[in-house]
Amino acid sequence: MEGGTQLNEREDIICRCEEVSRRTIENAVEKRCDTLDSIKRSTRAGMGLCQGRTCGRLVAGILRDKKGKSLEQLTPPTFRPPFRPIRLELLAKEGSRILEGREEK
Amino acid sequence: MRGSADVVIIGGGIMGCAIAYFLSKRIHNVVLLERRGIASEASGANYGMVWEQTRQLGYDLATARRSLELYPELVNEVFDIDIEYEKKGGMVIFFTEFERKVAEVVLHSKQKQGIPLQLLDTNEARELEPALSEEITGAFYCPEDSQLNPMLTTIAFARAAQREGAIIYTGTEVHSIKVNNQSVRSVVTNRGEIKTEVVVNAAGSWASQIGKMVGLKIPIYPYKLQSFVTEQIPHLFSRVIQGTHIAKDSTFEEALQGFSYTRDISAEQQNLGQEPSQQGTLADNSMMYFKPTASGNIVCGTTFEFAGYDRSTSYEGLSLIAAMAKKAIPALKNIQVIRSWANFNAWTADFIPIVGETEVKGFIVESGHGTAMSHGPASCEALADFIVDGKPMPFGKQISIARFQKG
Repeated sequence: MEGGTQLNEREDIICRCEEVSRRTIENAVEKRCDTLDSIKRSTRAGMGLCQGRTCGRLVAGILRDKKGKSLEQLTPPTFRPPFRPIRLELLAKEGSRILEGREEK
Repeated sequence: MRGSADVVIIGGGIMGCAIAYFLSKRIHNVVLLERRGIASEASGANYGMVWEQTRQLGYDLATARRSLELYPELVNEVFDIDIEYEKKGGMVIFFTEFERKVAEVVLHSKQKQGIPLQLLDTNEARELEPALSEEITGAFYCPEDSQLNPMLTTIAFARAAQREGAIIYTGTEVHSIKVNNQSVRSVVTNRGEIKTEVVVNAAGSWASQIGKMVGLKIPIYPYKLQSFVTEQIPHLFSRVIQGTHIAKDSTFEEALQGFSYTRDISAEQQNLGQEPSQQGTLADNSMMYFKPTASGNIVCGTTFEFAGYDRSTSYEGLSLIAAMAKKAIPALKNIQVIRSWANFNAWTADFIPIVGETEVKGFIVESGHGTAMSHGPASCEALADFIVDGKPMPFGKQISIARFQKG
């Protein structure tokens, strides 16, 4: 076998949860996205289980390099609760108590 | 930035983008201004339901029906991205015998309106959606009801409008609207002034703020909906599933109203069009909405609150939604919740939007849609005909701002 596997850093996975590659994010930035939020909406990077806690800095770095912006100039993406994934049944405890209380009335 | 336009549209949600498309097909020089990005507000957080069964007779139902005709045409001939449009049918589930009894009466009136609604028993409903709880007492099913990805649909309209020549400025905030002799003259933004004689106010929950700029009171208020989304899971259910909105201890008549989503408001209340206040507890104002998305995440909602423009979610609200989800679809209990948010639905006293001209010449409203994905295409198609040809809007009186004004 000649040459072996060509490793291309553009195929690196940046967002592991959603399996979004560097190429996909770079393409989005080149075409239309100039904010962290619009990259997320367009590529799903940061929409997975970790909610961008792993890939957020990498995505910001790509945007900085491509757009020539400093990290301070980038509006941080919105983080919303829960701060880490929570099992639905655990979250439901208080709500179930309220709903059952209403049914007993 | 352009110095002048034939029409300036304010708002980059489904309404603004759809009217931009339908207008650009007919006239040149259409400009759309959006403060944030396309589909940044309600159109990005919407449940994506294009439903017939929950629409009320008149503008609401007629417009939803026309949209159900238009979407397949738009998907096949106009849009260049996949909006995940699917006619999967819509389901409303019940948990009590009382709800089922009310449903039998609702069934007949809906069928008389030509809606192909079916009343399913527990087994029939669970045959369609096996993940549903054994505790349900039945369900409504309407095979015509369809669903889509609201964010992609809004973007698809924006792109179609651009192909027809519309200019879209995002990150562009309207500061004021200049009016002379009760006629629109120009729109002043953070990026410059655009001369125009026609403005379409498609700002949705913010429509009243745009109205103030021309001295007009527009009684549209933000209604806060909390939701959360789960991690991606293998297929669990296919359709958007909704609960009923029947308050505890309702009379049969009240329950009927709750079921048909009509609101009987006295003329006095309409005249005032005053700011609504929260009635009852958060549990009284919560309703089941579960949406499986193409990516495998499940969106769960929702609570309804009047809280101004406060975007916060609450532990009580999210916990109630989780409790409803567990009750309706028990298998969800072991799934991880990963993100929550609140968005604003535009609210009017009679649940009917405000569409059409106003006493300020050239100032047109297309806002107040609580079910914007059902209304968007059809309403904007008709509004474009009104703006270009002066052709009256169907149900013009029902949707006119005049219904909230005295005299």
